[in-house]
Amino acid sequence: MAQTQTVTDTGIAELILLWREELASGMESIVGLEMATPCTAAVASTFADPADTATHHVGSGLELAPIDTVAGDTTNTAGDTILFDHVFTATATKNLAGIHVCNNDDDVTFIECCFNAVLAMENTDTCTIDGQSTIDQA
Amino acid sequence: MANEAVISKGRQGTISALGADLRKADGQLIVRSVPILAPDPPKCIKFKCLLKFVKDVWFCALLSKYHHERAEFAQHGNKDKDIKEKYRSGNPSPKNIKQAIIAIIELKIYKLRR
Repeated sequence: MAQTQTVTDTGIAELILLWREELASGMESIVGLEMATPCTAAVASTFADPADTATHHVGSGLELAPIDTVAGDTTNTAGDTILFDHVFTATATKNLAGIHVCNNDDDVTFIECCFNAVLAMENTDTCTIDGQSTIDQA
Repeated sequence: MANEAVISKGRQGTISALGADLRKADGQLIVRSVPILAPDPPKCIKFKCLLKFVKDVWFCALLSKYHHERAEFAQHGNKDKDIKEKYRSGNPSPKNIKQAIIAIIELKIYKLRR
């Protein structure tokens, strides 16, 4: 199973709302996905309906939380990239199949990622997320 | 980024990439999940273009299989054991079909020997 990640349709729609200065919010939160087998990220996934049968973790250190660091960066043209870093620390034995990167209102998923394999986290294990997203002129 | 394998194009115009490191409380790496390069669609309908696409898809499938299997191996039953670092970090990652096939076979042999 490949690690898959994608910007979702709802994430793009939220970006367009921001461009239009309509009611919308930026990248702010992150939450772990719970599933026993690897999931596959899909553009159609939403905050309420993650990939496959995955669900949001609701505790154990993998629940919805503010992203540790969000910053701008450059890949091809100045300021075309956003970087985000976060560390989950498990407080119990849990499966982490992937993540959702969400908006400030916690109702839109910008990015969905499903890992190579389900990460079997035990108490005090950490999972460091190092991500980026680029809006490219290609 | 956490790894060299890096970018997957979700769609034209937006690119997202992500690395995830699972570590013990003392910081020791258990396993790293790495992005896989999704093959670009064929740019023409000539045989050469289609063949390249088929090879890219095949490579992507093999690379996915390798990283999935080594990620499973690094965790289940081997979390606290001394195994080759490349199976935890995913580096070096196979760069072509031949390397991917060899890497998968090497991993199978390594598992059998343990």
